[in-house]
Formats: sequence, C-alpha cells, structure tokens
Amino acid sequence: MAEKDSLAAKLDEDLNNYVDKMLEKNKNYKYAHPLSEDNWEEELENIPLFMTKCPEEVDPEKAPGVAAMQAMKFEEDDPDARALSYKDDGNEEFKKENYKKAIKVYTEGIKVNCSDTVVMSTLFANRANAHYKIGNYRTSLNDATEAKNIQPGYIKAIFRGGCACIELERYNDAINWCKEGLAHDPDQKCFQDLLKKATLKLKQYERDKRKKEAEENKMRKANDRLIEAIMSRGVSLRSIPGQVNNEEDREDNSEVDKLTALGLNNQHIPGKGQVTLDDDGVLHWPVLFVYPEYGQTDFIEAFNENLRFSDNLQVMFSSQDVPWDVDRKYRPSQLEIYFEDVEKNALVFVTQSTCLANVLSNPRYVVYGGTPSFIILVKDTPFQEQFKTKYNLDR
Amino acid sequence: MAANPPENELTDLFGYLSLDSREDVKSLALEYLLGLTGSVDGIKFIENNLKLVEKVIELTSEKSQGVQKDACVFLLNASASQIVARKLENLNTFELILPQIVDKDCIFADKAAMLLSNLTRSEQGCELCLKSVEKTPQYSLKKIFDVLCNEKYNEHVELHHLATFLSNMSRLKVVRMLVLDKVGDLMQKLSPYVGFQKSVVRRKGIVGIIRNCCFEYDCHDWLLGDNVDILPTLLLSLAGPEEFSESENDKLPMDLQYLGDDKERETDHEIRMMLIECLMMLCSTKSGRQYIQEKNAYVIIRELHKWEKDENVCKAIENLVQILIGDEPEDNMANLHEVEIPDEIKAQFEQCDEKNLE
Repeated sequence: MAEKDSLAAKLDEDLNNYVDKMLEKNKNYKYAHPLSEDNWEEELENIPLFMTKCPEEVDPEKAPGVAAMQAMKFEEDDPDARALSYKDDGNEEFKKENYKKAIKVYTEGIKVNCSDTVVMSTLFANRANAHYKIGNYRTSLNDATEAKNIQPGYIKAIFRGGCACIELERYNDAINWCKEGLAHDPDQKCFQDLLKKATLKLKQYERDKRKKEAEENKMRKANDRLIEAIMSRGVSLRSIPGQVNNEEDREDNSEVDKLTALGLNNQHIPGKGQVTLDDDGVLHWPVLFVYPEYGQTDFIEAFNENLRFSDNLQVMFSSQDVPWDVDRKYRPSQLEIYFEDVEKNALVFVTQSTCLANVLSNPRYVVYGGTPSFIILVKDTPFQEQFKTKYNLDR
Repeated sequence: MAANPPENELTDLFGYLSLDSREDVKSLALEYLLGLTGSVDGIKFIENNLKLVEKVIELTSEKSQGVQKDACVFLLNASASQIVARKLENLNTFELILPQIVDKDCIFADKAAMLLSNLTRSEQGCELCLKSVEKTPQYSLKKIFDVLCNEKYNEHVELHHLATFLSNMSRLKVVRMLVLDKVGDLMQKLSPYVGFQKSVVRRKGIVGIIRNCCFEYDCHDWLLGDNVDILPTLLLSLAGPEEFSESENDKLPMDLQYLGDDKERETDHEIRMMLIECLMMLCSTKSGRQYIQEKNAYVIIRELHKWEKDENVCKAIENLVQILIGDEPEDNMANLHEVEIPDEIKAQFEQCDEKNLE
C-alpha cells in the first residue's frame, strides 16, 4: 500500500516536473491566432466549424480556414469539372447581383482553359453579361466575341455582343450582330427587336451627324459672308496684342486669323457683343466709347454702320442725366470724338456727323479684338487740352 | 451581214444544231445564227423558220458552257421579235432558262435574266413562266428573289436584269402576295435597292415591283408601318439638296432630315414617275394619306416640282400635291381607289387629259 502511495506521489511529481519543464520550455510561445476578448464572436464567424451563415466575401487573411475549404472545392483533378464548378459559382454570384464577384469567379474558370468548348464559351458569355451589367461594354463585347468564336451560333453571346455594340454607339456593328443571330435563328424575337433598336439608333445618329454638319456649314457660310462684307469695306482688323494668336494649334489660314481678330473663332453667339451682318447686308458693330476724364466707358452692343455718331450721342446724353457727369459738361453738342492711331501714337478727330462705316474704312483706323473704340472728350476743357498732349500732333 | 440561206442549206443547219453533232460544228452554226439576229431581215428569216428556235432551245442544255451561252444570246436577241417571243413562251424555254439563274457558276446568267425579262413583257408570258416555276419547286420564285437580294450570289455576272424580270412577274397577284408576305421579309430586303447607285436597271426593276405591290391596298398599312417603313425609302430618292427650316425638318421621317447640299435626286424620270405613282396609291386610303401628310412629304414633293423638267412627271406631281394639301374628301369617298366614277365624268376627264397633252 505504502509502495503504491509512493509510486503515485512519484508519478505526480514527474507530471509536475514535466509540466514545469514544458512551461519553462514554451515560456515564450504564444498561440498564433488567439481569439481576442473584445470580438471573439466575430472571429468565430470566420472559422468554418462555428460560422452561423455562409460568407459573402472571403478574405484569406482574416479567414484562412474558409479560404482553404473553398480552394479545396476547386481542387478537382478534371479541368472540365473544375471549370464547370467555377461557372456554377459564378452564376450563383450573378443571380445575387454580385457582378464583380461573378466576373472574378468566371475569370478563374476561364484560366482553367478546359477542353470543353461549351463550358468555355459559356464562361465567356456569362462574363460578358456580368461586364455588361456593370457598364463595361467594351470588355463585354470582347468576351461575347470570344464566346462566339469558341462556339459559333451561340445565341446568348451574339445577343450580348449586339447589346454591347449599341451601348458603344457602334450601330452598324450591332446590326451585323443581329443579322448573324437571325441567320442562325430567324425567329428569335430578341434579335428582331434589337435589330429595330439598332436601326433606329443608327438613323438618329446619322441624322444628328447631318444636322451638325448642316449647322456648321451654315455658320461657316455666315462667317464667310461677314468676313467678305468687312473686307469689302476696307476695314482693318487686328487681335488685341498678346491676347490671341499664340494658340498652339494655330492654323495658317488668314480666314481663321480674321475670325480670331473679330473674336468670332469657335464661339460665335450672335448678338453677344460681336459684329453681325443683317439680311440687308448692313453691319452692326459693338462699339466702345471711352471717357478718359472720368475713367468711364459706354458699350453699344450693335451700332448700325450707317448711323452717325451724333445719333448715338444724342440718345445717350440728352434724354437722361449721366450719374458720373457731376459738372453736367457732357452735352451732345459739346462732345468731341477721337480715335487712336496706335502706330503713330496720334489722336484722330472724327466729326459727329460721320457715319460709323466711313470711320472704319479709314486706312488709319484699326479695329482691335472686333470692337471699335472711340475716345470722347469735352470741347475746350483743361482735361481735353492736357489729354491731347500725350499724343503726337495730328491735324 | 449574213445573207439568208436557201431552203436546202437550212436543213443542213438543223443537222449541225442537233445535240449529237460535234461541238465545234455547233459553235460555228450558232455563230452564224447569231449573225442573223443582227439584221431586220435576219430576224424576219428566223420568224419564218421558228423550227430554228426550237433547235437552239435544245442547245441550252448542252454540256459546253460556250455553246449554252451562244444559244442563250441567240434566244435573247431573237426574243426582241414579238413572234419569236410568243413562240419561246409556249415552248419549254422557262424550264431550261430558270435553272441558269439560280446556278451560282453560270457565266451567262445575266443573259438568261435578260431573256426572261423579254419573255415576260406580256401578261401571258408571265403566266406561262409562273406555271413553269410552279412545276419545279427547286427554282421557286422565293429562291429567285433571294438571288436578286444577294448581290454576290453569282460572282461572274451582275444580275440586275433579274429585277426587270421580277418586276414583270409582279403583275401577277401571286407574285405580289409573295413579296408582301409579312413573314418573308422580302419587301424589307428589296427596298434598300431603291437607291442602288450602281445600276439604273436594278433600281427601275425594284421600284417597279414596289409600285405593283402598291396596288394591294390592303397591305398599305403594313407597307407604311414600322416593319417596312417604305415612305422614307420612296421620298429619299425624290429628295434633293434643298435646305429646310428646322421645323420642316423635324416633321420629316428621320432619314430625310438635314440632308446635305450634295444630295442627288433619282436621275431616271421613269423611276421618278413610278415613285410618284407609289405615293399616289399609298395616298388613296384615308390612313395612308394622313400618315404621308403628317410626315411632311409635301415639302419634298414641292421642291421636286420646282426642279422637275419632265412634263409627265410634273403633271403626276401636281396631282399628288392636290391630294397632299387639298381638302379631305367626304367620308363615303375616303378611299379614293374605291370611289366609283360615273362613265360620263370619266369621259370628260379623258377629254381634259387629251386637251392637256395637246
């Protein structure tokens, strides 16, 4: 009995020693993936044995167990069966509208490169559908083409290809896809409908193209007429220095230059401060009056070239008081009109009874940036005297 | 020019032409006969010896394609004569010629098509041809229409004259009903050729077929509807380079909107006439008339009238414009083609027309 007790005590001691030894040996060991106390419930969800529902997205970092089990599923030796399995999984994801996921799975299936053409073409066609669903029409078309090449006459792929072509605005191609579909199966309503849609879209597209061309043509003609009218009057045009004419794609074309000088290039919006030609062949210029004494300006949107300066000044200065004209000096009869001859740095006098057209035809007059401008001074004032001294003398 | 042979030599000629004589002999004999078809006297001679024609018909089933071709050309030339054409209609010509049309490799299928169009100038010819076609299901009319719609069917020849032949045939109701078959899509395949720039013969034939089909008033709604949409096709050939306002453009069928200033009209006045006739007939039902009015066909026709030089076409246009912008007739006369015109008024109209022509 005592022997038995001593043996038991020895065994206990041995065990304790062993445990102590193991503890000592593994003092620094830590469990690789311990459940943390804070979110152990969540972590259990990542372990296949404990999970309560099927995972949506599998991250091999977070849930290695699930990823490993998933990989096992595709470790079939037979490539055909493996590809088929990917196809089924992809279809599941597609049904759940997880199109990006479906694309991934189909892609894995395609990578298997199995010999079963039906499975391969289905994988491509299904991936085409998934790409189409998320708006990758280009890729969708490529996949549909691939599917059709693997399995000629594959209705689903041809239909998807046609749809993708429509979205890509390649309507003639779409029509050809439809015709190909109808050649294989003339009674397919989907192709008849798609063909109708593509034909209508094509017609609309061509109509819009013709309309655009017609409009451009019209504008070009109007511009030609305008330039012709301006040139025939001998008006000199120049761009505002430093503002334009240094564009990279400047064409070597005097017409373009003239349009640029008129500020008409590209964006001709009639009546928006640009010179226009009316149906009677009369030009209407935007004109700037500058009053240097007060640093003020007046902008006349459309100055009929056949009107005199006095006509405009009458309207502007006789009917109402001008707020900045504190001394009430600016009476139509007291006003003098000048323009700058930039080359000679001269100030040229214009009588009030002159028509705009006559001034613009003057060889010394240059229209900058499409807007003729004039300087208005008041007769016999100190400012006028002083202002004129800044320029070279002109008769 | 070959002189007409005396009687005894003719008997020899028959000998040379029989199927079992040597090929080079047949060729020579045919060459001689072909020479005959170049002169009025030669044709007269053939008319008086129709047995010759019978002999040559046999040669169209000859083994050598060269002989076949010469035989076919001879028949084609000779068929310019009414008498010879009558004779040919009543022989088994159609049965021998139709297979050439559907033969992808036949080097003279175009001549065969011309011969067929010559032989179907009369309604009687059409009916006889139809009978032959019905006897041989492998050369069905549907098949011949398909050949016409497939430009690359026979790489050796252009089968534009097939359109003329089928246009002749479309005088028969059976043929029209085939073209107008809603399932067959034939009309949809034919209509793009209305603007076929490469051949006026084909255009004329196709427009002829469509014109004849317009006599089937029950089919007007279908012709004008979404499936066929014939109106833009007809109008496009009549439209010119004139510019329309935005509101005028918007009312037109989409194909007609904003045509460029390089748009050309149909150059052939007979085709223009037929196109106007098509529109005229399509206007005879109330729904058709309203549809064509809605689609702003008037502006196209108005510009055409300003441009048109041919007097007869001008008159036809004026009649059409009357319908397009005139008052709607009373309800009991809504379908113009059903309106009964009393004989005395008919006579008055005819008198007017005659006066106008003077």
